[in-house]
Amino acid sequence: MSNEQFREKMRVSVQKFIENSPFDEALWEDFAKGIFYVAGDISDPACYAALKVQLDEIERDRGTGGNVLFYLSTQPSFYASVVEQIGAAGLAQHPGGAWRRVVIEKPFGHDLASAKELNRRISTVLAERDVYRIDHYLGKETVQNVLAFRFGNTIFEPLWNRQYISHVQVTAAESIGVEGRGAYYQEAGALRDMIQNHLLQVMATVTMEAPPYFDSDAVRDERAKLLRSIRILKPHEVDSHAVKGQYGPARVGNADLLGFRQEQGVNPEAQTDTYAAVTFFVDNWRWAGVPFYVRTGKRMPKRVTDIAIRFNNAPLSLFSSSPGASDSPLAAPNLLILRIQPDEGISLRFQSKDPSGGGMKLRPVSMDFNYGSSFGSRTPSAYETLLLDALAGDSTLYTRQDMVEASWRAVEPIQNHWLENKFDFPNYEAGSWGPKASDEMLARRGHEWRIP
Amino acid sequence: MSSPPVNTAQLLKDLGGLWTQLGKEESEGSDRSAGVLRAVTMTFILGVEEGNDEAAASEALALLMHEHPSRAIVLKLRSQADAELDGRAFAQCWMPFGRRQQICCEQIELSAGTASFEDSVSLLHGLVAPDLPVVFWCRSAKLFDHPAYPEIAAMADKVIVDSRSLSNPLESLRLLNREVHAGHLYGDLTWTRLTRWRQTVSSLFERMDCKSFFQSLNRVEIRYVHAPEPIAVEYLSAWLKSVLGTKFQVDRVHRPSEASWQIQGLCFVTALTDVVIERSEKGIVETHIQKFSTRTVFEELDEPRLVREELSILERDPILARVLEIASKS
Repeated sequence: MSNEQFREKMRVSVQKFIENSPFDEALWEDFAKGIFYVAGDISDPACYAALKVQLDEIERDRGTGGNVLFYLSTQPSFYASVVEQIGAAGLAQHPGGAWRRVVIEKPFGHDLASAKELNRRISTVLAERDVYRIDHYLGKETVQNVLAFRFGNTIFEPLWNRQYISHVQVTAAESIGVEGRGAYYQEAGALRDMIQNHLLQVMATVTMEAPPYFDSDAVRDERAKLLRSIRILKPHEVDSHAVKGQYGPARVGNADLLGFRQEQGVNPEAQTDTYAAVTFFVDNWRWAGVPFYVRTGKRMPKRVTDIAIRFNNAPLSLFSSSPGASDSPLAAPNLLILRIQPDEGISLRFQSKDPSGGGMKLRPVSMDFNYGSSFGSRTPSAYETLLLDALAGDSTLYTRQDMVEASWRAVEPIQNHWLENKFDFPNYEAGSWGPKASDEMLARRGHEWRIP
Repeated sequence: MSSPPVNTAQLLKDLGGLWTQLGKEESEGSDRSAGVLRAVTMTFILGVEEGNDEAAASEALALLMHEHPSRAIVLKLRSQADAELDGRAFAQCWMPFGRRQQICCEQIELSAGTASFEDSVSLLHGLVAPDLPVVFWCRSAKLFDHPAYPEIAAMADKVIVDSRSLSNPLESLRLLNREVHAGHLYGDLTWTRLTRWRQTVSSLFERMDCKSFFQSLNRVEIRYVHAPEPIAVEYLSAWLKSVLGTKFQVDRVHRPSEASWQIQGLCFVTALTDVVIERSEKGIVETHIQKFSTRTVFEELDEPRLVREELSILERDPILARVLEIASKS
């Protein structure tokens, strides 16, 4: 493919996916001049030599100063060798001191040992500050807003601890199945694909201590510290703290949905987790004893990602005959919902006196902040934010080596236990909120999953 | 030809688009407008059947929205048994008197024939508004008997039925009894209609001049107009037994007439005199104690008012639970 053909391909894609603004022909023409296409075999040093020639030409013609951001959109198994080839071709350093950075997509390893090995090999070529491990959840406006919400306001932080919070639920539900990615997904699974990276990072953002100042290292230090505080489950604790699920066929709406094992490219005996729910505990003074229920699944009733912080019941049930009272079937303790997607925003549920019918009857009401209606401007996508940050050298929203390893440490006992045992799948129907065992996991502590 | 797919993602997307559109229309409209308020305090599932006075059901829903703004999900059982699932999302808006801001509630309608009705129920899990109570008003006898009913009812924090319109009212009371004693919240509009009778009887028992009569109470007669015996009589009988004690006899007397109401009156037979509460004309109830008569007005209670009353009781009703227990033993 020539540069021109590649540019045309890019133009078609941009025109198709551009959001909220018209396609600007002149702007595109100007931008497209900077797009070049170098094809080659990524295991062949000649490919990197050709790339070097092209980069030198770009530096000379377009005044980039030699700065280069490598974005590895390859299979994860090639990350280390590609970085090593970049190093061997002399592309990782610039004689004039310009920056050279590499962006890597998850998964960062498939377990703790492979993550360590990947980090070791990359570190022989690049310094940690030049490695940008992308976790697009951290780039989402609503996840970034968690920090603003917590540390830009004074009214919530005093309540943000074990004294006031009963438990936290983190949900990342997808209504779709594996959509033709069955072969890939059966090797990954929900625990590895979502919890080990995205959801533990989200949980760390919700629970970390305030950094002394807002810079990349300070914020990431606090996140890493939190991840290291997650209690590591012992093998005998896994069954009571984690639930593995796989969806079976079902009719939802007027469509017959396939079970995971019936999806194209999937082994009919696959033991893959398309659903995972874990009870985590954070062993520090702030969070000791507070369960963090984290769940993710495919073929759930709807697509939604949110964090629900459930506060303790009022210490005394003054309005005991009211539906809002703690002994009522409609008991509604305070609930703070941080909605990551869709309908990005925050809502706070609290009790209010119902004015109808007289008497002291309480009803839950909610106070809402909605991104869409509060800010007129368009919210940048996570990738826009993250790639711009990488170009600017801001790694605050990227995961660091120690964070990756700490998250693997937290999920590895679960992963190992699941690999060693055979499960009777499917154990939940497509279009439902997951296996019964997941409800039972919460019920043992007197809690229940909310319907997000 | 297969029907177009109806799924949660599309319906929720349509709802989202609807709000964007409404907001846009308002902001581009009159400069005196103060925008649209999206209001939701619960998910209100309304189960109806095609051809069973749907217009009244829609009207009731619209009226209830004013005091109980909700995400309404109308589940319509189509008369054509093999009608496939269809779904749409829209908004119901109104402008309160003297205000410049429109209040809008969202509504989703799912309809299907008996054969495909479960298709609509499978979508409910993804359509209920998060973290708010779910109330299910089952206004259709066919839906109450449909195999999908238990699944819908299990999703709701409170279920409202009208036992007098169900195919087997007495059996439905037994089901309600089981459900209520299993900890589920139920409301029955047939029971709600009796509130005024119960209030009238209670006020009689509080009167000092009646005390001597009631001390020599022998039995109570419930007089009803139309055969077969309405289920309201069962409720009233059970309630009287629950408050007076089971040693008192409660007789049910059929007094045929052309009247449009079901219960004609109550007669407390005592050793000294009979105390009678009787409907004299539509809306008027007279109480006779020896030579004294008093008149009480029974306001016309339409469906929206009855449901509104039920919506204000989102808690366990111990009196109903006791009455159901007695009635279900009949």
